Amino acid sequence: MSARRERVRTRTTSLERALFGLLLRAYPAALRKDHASEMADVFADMRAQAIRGGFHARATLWLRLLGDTVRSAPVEHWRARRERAAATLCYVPAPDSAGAIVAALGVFLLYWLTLAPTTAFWDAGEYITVAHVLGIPHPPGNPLFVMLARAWELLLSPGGWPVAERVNLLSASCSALAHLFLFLTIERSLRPADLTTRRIGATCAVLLSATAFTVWHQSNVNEKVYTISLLTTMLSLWLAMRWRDTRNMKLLIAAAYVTMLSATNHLMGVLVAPAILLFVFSVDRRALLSPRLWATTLPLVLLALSAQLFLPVRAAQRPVVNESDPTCESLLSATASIYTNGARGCPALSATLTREQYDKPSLLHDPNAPGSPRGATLIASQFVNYAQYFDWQWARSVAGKSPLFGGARPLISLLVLLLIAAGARAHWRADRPAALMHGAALFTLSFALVLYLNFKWGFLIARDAFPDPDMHEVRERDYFFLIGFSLWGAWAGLGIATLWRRAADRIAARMSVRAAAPSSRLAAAPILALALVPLALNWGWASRTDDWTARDWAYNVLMSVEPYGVLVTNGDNDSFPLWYIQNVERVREDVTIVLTPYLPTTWYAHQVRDASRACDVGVDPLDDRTRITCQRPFTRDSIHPRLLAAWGNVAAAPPEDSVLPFDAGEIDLMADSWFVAEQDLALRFGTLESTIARGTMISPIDTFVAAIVQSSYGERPIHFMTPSPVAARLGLTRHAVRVGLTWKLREPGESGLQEVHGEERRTVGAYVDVALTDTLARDVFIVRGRVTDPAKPWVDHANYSIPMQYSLMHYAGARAAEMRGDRVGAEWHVERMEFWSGL
Amino acid sequence: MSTLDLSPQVFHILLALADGPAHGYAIMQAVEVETDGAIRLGPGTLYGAIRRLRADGLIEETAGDAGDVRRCYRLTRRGRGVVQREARRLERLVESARARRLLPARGT
Repeated sequence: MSARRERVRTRTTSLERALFGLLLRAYPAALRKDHASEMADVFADMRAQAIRGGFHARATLWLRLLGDTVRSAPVEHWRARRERAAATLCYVPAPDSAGAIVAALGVFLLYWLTLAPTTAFWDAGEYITVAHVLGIPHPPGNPLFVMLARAWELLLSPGGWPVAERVNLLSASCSALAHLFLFLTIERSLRPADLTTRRIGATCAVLLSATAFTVWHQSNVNEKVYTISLLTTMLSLWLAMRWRDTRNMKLLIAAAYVTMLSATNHLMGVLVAPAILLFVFSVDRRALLSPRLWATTLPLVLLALSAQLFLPVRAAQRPVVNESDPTCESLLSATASIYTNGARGCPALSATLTREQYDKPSLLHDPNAPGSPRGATLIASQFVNYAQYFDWQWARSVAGKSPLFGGARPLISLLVLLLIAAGARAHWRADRPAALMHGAALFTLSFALVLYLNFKWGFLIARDAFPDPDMHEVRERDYFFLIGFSLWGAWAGLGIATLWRRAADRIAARMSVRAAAPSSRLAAAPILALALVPLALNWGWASRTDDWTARDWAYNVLMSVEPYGVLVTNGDNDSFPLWYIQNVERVREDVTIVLTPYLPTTWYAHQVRDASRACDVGVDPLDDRTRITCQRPFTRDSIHPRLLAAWGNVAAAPPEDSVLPFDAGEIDLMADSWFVAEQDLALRFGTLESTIARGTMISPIDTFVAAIVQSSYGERPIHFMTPSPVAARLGLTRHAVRVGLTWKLREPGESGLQEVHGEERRTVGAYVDVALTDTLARDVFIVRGRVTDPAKPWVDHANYSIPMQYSLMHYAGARAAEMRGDRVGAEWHVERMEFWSGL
Repeated sequence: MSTLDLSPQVFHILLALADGPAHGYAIMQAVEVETDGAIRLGPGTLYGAIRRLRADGLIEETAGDAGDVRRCYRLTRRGRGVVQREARRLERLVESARARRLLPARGT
């Protein structure tokens, strides 16, 4: 019996020891390591005493142990976490703010010295205009940019700078500030190196990043919104780095907020998120499981996205630029649209947020053949396109006129790649998590972005194999990769600094001095001159100093249009600069611009209708120039007296009707009208007759333009930008009169025109208004600045059509002068034509 | 650790060591007796406190009695100073309470 009792006692003792051992597991490892055996001894003593007290005492003992564990174990875990954090925080490096500020000021100075004085081509006119009138640009609408830019413009207004220059300064400032954070991030990564080494490394990184061609070329004008994305990306990276040093959760939360706020500028800014998550995971994955992080971040993310509400609120006020018109019926539907990213809620706002208008092809399909798979050849070409842009970054002026891997430029790019490899390696060795974050951001913003964007064939890629321009992008798209090029530049800069450091160490060894000796560093300093290569070789191409080309182009086009004229345009470059000069500089606000690619979107047709309708009595459209009211008046103030005389000094009266006097139902019908002319179709527009050739595909654009001509011919002068595919399809070319940079439809009884014969009619026009064209070309047009200097290149080959337009005009003038026997006049036009063709 | 950071448990642990070195169980029992069972330390609470007191330099490990294999602890000079200051603070509090007739006068 006693033996059995002994066995039971032994088993009970073992069991209770094992149970206590389980309770010990609740405590932090460090505590267990130091005191587990003592605690077991204490337990043994407590148990021995409790046994004497019987079952009740033993039960009380276990309750006491359980209670003690429940109370003290969490406290010990919390204390252990604090001890770990304190161990990490025993040294929180202070950022080199002075160095960063100097670097940022240097970058700002560079961009200011090369700043565009006015608008530029492509989207610059659109963005400067929407900033000024608080309008809505093309989808996704960029509400954060609009609000920021307008506030910025107002803030700088006491300085007396023109509107365009103020908005361009926003781009420069954002980019400069981005480089401040880039400096801080790189400098921190280079610790524990000495201050000089860190500053040299960070400065080289900033220099290569800021002078990368696309970064520079986008920072000295506000052509896009990506400099804001650059700023938020660099800020988020820095906040993550700072969180690592301080373990202050608020910094991570701030990074999340900034990133999501950036989404309301452009989704580009969100692409840094995977890199930051990877960084946090590599430093302390438990931070990602922090309930406080998610509980605080989620409401802030919702708050950040609320900036999108600007779109429906402002759209309802009918701003003069109101692309996609994201008006909503209720705040609730607008909110649903925002927080479901367009999956639910207000249809118009959803269409804007999801960029429905652009009908982006799926990643798996060929953008040129919807439904067909995206082949390896196309994917390879998309990466070749990216390589082309990479090749531009470091030495754009080398064989600059050969934008496709011209001259020695690829060799320089290869050298830069080697520097990037050296810089990446140095970064990895100095600060692995930061290098991982940098590399992940690079991957997302370059290679992954190429795959996501799924472009058509690049503007210049495979032109021989695919001559159809519709199979190619309409312009070069290097700007999409701006942030990636900045990050490549940073690594290249680090590579240069690494070479310098190694050279200094070798020199020091030979000189038998210590490695950090100033003499050895100075001796190796010439290597740092490599960091100035992009600055020197990109300046001529990136600078926009004295570049009035786009602004003057817009002025010259609008002056080619007679009072209250309609101007039918083809795309960005013959529309957005015109929007700028009308709405910001208030030049020729009377002209109705009809941007044909937008016509099939009914929102645009409605806006054209409403902006050109006659004003009600007592309504002055100039009371609020930021909104669509009615037809704006023609004013003689800004018109050259010779042009007024050439127009016959008539007091132009406002038209009585809109250019599109149709109701919503009729506009909807026109927007849906596709057909093929099964036979020749005769059209009549007042006294004008035209024929649509059999087999011509007639699209909604053609239907709308035909309706405009039908409604306005005889009431308003109707002009087309040249060449005009829609005028050709509608058979109107034979009535086209060359007037300055446009074609005008010949009006009844118009005389004094020089008729053109033969094939030349297709390019020159059927007639030339010699008097008007000569007056415009000689006395009215403004051509100044950079474009007049043959030493300065025409940077963007994708808009070579602009100088070609001038060239075409002068060709028409020369031919007309020849036909009239005016040799002097012809020679003058030929000289001007050759000037423009030679750009 | 300043006097202001001393919790009642920690103060009584230091008090228990004021008489001389002791091992964990002895400290536990001394505290229970001293407080008439009001403070009953569990192993987790006791050794969590001992760990912090060691890190703060208020107690240190010492050799136990001959033949005793258990780890013993004793007050350091700093620890003695801390517990003395805390005791004087509590004494001042008690005098304050006596002055307000919240406690009986000395000797009564």
